[in-house]
Amino acid sequence: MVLVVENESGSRAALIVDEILGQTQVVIKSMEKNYRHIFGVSAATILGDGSVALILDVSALIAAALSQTENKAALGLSELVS
Amino acid sequence: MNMLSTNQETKMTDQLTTRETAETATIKMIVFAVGAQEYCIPILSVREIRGFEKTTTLPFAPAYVCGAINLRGIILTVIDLAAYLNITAELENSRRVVIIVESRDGVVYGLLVDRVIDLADVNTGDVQPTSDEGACLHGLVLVDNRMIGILKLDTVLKHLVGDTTKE
Repeated sequence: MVLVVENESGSRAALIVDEILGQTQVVIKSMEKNYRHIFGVSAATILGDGSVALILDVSALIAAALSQTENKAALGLSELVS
Repeated sequence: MNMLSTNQETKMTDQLTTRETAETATIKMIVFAVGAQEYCIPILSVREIRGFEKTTTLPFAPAYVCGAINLRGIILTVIDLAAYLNITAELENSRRVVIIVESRDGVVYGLLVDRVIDLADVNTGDVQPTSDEGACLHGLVLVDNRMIGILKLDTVLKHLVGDTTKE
């Protein structure tokens, strides 16, 4: 299953997920309060059944993916030049 | 009330660490088992004890972090003490419990242990200190002829929240 996300600046990315369960409104709870910052996760929440779900930091994920591809492109270019 | 107990805990932990002072204090400890070994922590740092239930796995977490649970609206992480201390846990143990601990800074986390045994009064003068400063044990103590490790919660917490100082 592919989930297409779009951020404020209009750039789009696709996330490959196993299943889309639905949509819901949630109360955001910090992960840093009792733990630490997790890369790619902006916060957490408690779902209706009491279980904990993590809220993805999509812009951080996209930024990381972009910088990785840029690095690879730069690497490829330098290999071509040398 | 909560403030009072936290202050008492602070005082007691200080007494545990500064053993040079001649006066000794008796601390009520909760004794639990991880694998074959028994450990204890001050009862005043314990918030509650509950059964182990399904946790939400956290990405990039150390191997000893089981995941996050919801404790009446608070999200906290559970540490698998057997994995943290690098000891073999009891196999097929359905009675594993989570001891919910609150640190002096108000950070709440859970310690997954095999079983809670009992309470014990530990005299700070009887504690055999371990040499390493950054170790996860304050020392060892004899309770009813059983060698029990006193877990250093400060070190556990430091590992859990990472080395970055919390604002």
